Formats: sequence, C-alpha cells, structure tokens
Amino acid sequence: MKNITFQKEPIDTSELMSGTGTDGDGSVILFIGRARNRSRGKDVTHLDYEIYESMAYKEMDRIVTYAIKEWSLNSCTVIHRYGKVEIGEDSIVIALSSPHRKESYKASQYIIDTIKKTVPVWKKEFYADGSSWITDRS
Amino acid sequence: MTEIKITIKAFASVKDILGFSEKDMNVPEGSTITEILGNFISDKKELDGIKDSLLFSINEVYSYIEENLKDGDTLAIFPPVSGG
Repeated sequence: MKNITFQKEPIDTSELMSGTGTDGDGSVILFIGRARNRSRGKDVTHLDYEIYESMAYKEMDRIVTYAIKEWSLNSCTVIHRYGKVEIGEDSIVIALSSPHRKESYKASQYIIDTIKKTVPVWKKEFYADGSSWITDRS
Repeated sequence: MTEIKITIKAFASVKDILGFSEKDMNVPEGSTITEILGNFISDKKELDGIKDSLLFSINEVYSYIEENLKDGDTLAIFPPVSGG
C-alpha cells in the first residue's frame, strides 16, 4: 500500500499510525521531521515551504516505489506539508512497515535522505528580523 | 529563424530574483537551457552568483543545462531543494 500526500494542514500522526501495517508486518517505523526553534544560530519563528507540486509528486512516487520494491515494504505513507508550518509542528511524516525491522530502518533512512536531495520543495526560515531560503541539505 | 513557445517556472530564491513564478516566452528553436538562462542573467546579477548551483527540469523531469527545448515545453529553474 502506497500513499503520497502534500498538504497545508497539520498531520494527524495518530490516525496515520493506526492505519499503517498489515498482519504480516513485525516492524512499523515512523519518521517525523519537525520544525525546530533554532537554526544556524538564530531563533526561528516559523517555516514556510514552497512546492512544485506536480513534479514533487512524481519524484516522491519514484522514491517510494523504489523503496517498496527494494526493501519489501507492505505499506509506505509519506505526508509532506507545504505553506506555513509553526514551530513544533510536523513538516514531514514517513510511516512504513515490513515483516522485519532491518528493512524498515533502511527504507525509512533512504526515503528521507533522498527526499532532501531530489523532491522539489524549498524551506524558508523566518526569524524575528527577517527570513532566509534554506539551500543546503542538512 | 523559427521560434518556439515555452513556459518558464521559477521557484524559491530564483522566483524572488526573477520577479515571476511563471511566464511564457518565445525562444529560437533548439535553444538550450544555458542559452535561455543567458537572457535572464544579463540583467540579474544576483542570479549570476548562484547559477552554478541551479537545478532545472523540463516537463517535470530533471534536465541537464545543455538540453534543448521543444515547442510547448515547461522549463523550471530552481535552487537546490530543501524539503523534509
């Protein structure tokens, strides 16, 4: 089962987790990327994500489809926020399942690392005294 | 010289520098991304400073800078991505 969503609204992680996995899965991994209040030595007030949605969906689908096949996942959901994200809110959630944990961990790491390299989404950090587009891949 | 019509999309800092998110443009048939970019860089010095890190897509697929555009193509220009 594959689900890719881009949304402006906050992510309901509890609902997502209750629907992740099958009876054949002994491992369920949840990765959450969350907006933090400090970055590059500055206090961050909030984030704003811009997205090239049609291309982002294609790139995300390519990444998730590869991961499902490579690590025999039975389910994989990726939800990425766009627009304004407040401090403490989740900006991305990856929920996936597989029969064994080794595959789940590897797939989760691959998916988040590859999203940060190729999916056309851009983060802008806002501070008390201005804002800045983030262009590194940390 | 035959011209083709393309759509250019710009995102994030590139959008801020160019001052538009999307525009149609007529360019000579067979133009490469490099050649099209030349039209912008000449009067946008800020773009010149980041041009080596820019990424491109044609019709939503990542492209090399020497790729040729066809009539009706959508060229997107953007900085390194930073999602997640």
